[in-house]
Amino acid sequence: MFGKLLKHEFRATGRIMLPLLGGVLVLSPLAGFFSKAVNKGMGGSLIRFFSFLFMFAFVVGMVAIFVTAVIIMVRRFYSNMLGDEGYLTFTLPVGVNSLILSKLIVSFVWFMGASLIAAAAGAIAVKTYYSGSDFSVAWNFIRDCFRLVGVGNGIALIIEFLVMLFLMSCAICLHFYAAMALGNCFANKKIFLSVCFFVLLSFVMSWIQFALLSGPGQNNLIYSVNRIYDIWLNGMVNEEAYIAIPHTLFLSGCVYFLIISAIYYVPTLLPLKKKLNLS
Amino acid sequence: MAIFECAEIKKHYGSNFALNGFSVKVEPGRIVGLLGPNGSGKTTLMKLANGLLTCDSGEILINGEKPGKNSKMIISYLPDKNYLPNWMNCDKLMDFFADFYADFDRQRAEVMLSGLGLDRKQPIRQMSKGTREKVQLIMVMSRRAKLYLLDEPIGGVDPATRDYILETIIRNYDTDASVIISTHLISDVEKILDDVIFIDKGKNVLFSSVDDIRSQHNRSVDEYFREVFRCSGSY
Repeated sequence: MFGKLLKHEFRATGRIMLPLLGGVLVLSPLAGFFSKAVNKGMGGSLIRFFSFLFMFAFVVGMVAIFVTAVIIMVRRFYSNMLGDEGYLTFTLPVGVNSLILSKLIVSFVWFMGASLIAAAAGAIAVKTYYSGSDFSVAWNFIRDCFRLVGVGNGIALIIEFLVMLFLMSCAICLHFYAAMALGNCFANKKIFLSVCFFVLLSFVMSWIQFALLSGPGQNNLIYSVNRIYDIWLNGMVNEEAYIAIPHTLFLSGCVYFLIISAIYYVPTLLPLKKKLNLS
Repeated sequence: MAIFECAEIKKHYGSNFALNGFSVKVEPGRIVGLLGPNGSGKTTLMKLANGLLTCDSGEILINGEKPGKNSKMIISYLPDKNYLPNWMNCDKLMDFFADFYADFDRQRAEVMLSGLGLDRKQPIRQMSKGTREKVQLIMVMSRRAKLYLLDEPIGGVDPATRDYILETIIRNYDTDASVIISTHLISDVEKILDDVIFIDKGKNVLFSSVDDIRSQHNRSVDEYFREVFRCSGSY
């Protein structure tokens, strides 16, 4: 059943994101080609017009894929859970946790997708503009990193990094979801109250983060991370010491964003379970 | 075992009690009219049965279980508003219902949709209000559910559409299932009802069979409803 939730979430959001991502990929070589043509003095005003047009569309597209991913994340939750579609969503034979988790996963996929497509589109545009550009430097760097840390550690670091990104994405999404879920508890001015709750949650969270990261004496995350790093380093041979740095960083990031996500999850879940107000 | 059972349910919104000690038992295989004036608690009761609201006190059971995942598998619910995603078309809707409801009969839905003469690729947003309501009803009645909860299925549509909706309900519900129809258009729906519940100010005022009302009070249900809920006041 969870797979079906994901399927329909991707269907609902992919109809907007996929054409946008595809459009940016199509625009990237065109922007590179026409910019190069203008730089080399080829053609006249028509070429300059197309160069401006495609470069403008390409830049707007690159911004739009990120902005749209955020808007879709917010809009999808609001309309599908708190709007009239909520009558359909909440009468499905699935739990509320599954509904929330499916949206978190899909949002993360589109955030990652936008980032990867932006990187690929940028590389294509650069490659088109500079015909002789060589990306082997980047590949060699990645290969050297894997040789340095070992394949096992390299894969572990990638997984840790992706998990950290996923939890960071969850924390961002749940901040919005919690604000909307709390705002929807009221009969009137739901959107206004959702914005107020967003600001209030930001304020509260900034205090919690301050306490977590820089509490007095030994009662803070930075001290704990340093201690873990020191303990890990003790007994390690010098060549392995550098591996501890990214591991510590990514795992600490995972713990940090997990805590933040858990804090936001409670005010998201409870109103949906106990105080749902679809009218 | 009763398919739908309420025991002293209370639900309030602020200082207003939408349901105030409501109790009823509906047996399988009955078509029941939930009849009451505006604001009497009909929609609140339907939402509670579907787990869209939680009651302040009392108990509501669907086939012996509290509202949850299991009850949602056997309830087919038609709310009183357009709840279908506007971007979907009929084909995608059928995919959606087939994926989540094991009791969804796709063939039945296709036959009913073809009867409407609809383009199955047309998005919901391009359909008229009446057509959307028909599509919603078709999706709901295409499920072989044990309990159908229809909230104002014939409100806001023309008389010909009302007849279509009532005929669709009669033709397509499983005879061992129960149907609860909330409405205040009693004269239209009376002909298909087995039992009626009169609800007023959140309380069960009357639960009787249609035949009993006609034989005991020598009136149609519509006439008896008007008598029970006559508004006092000068003109």
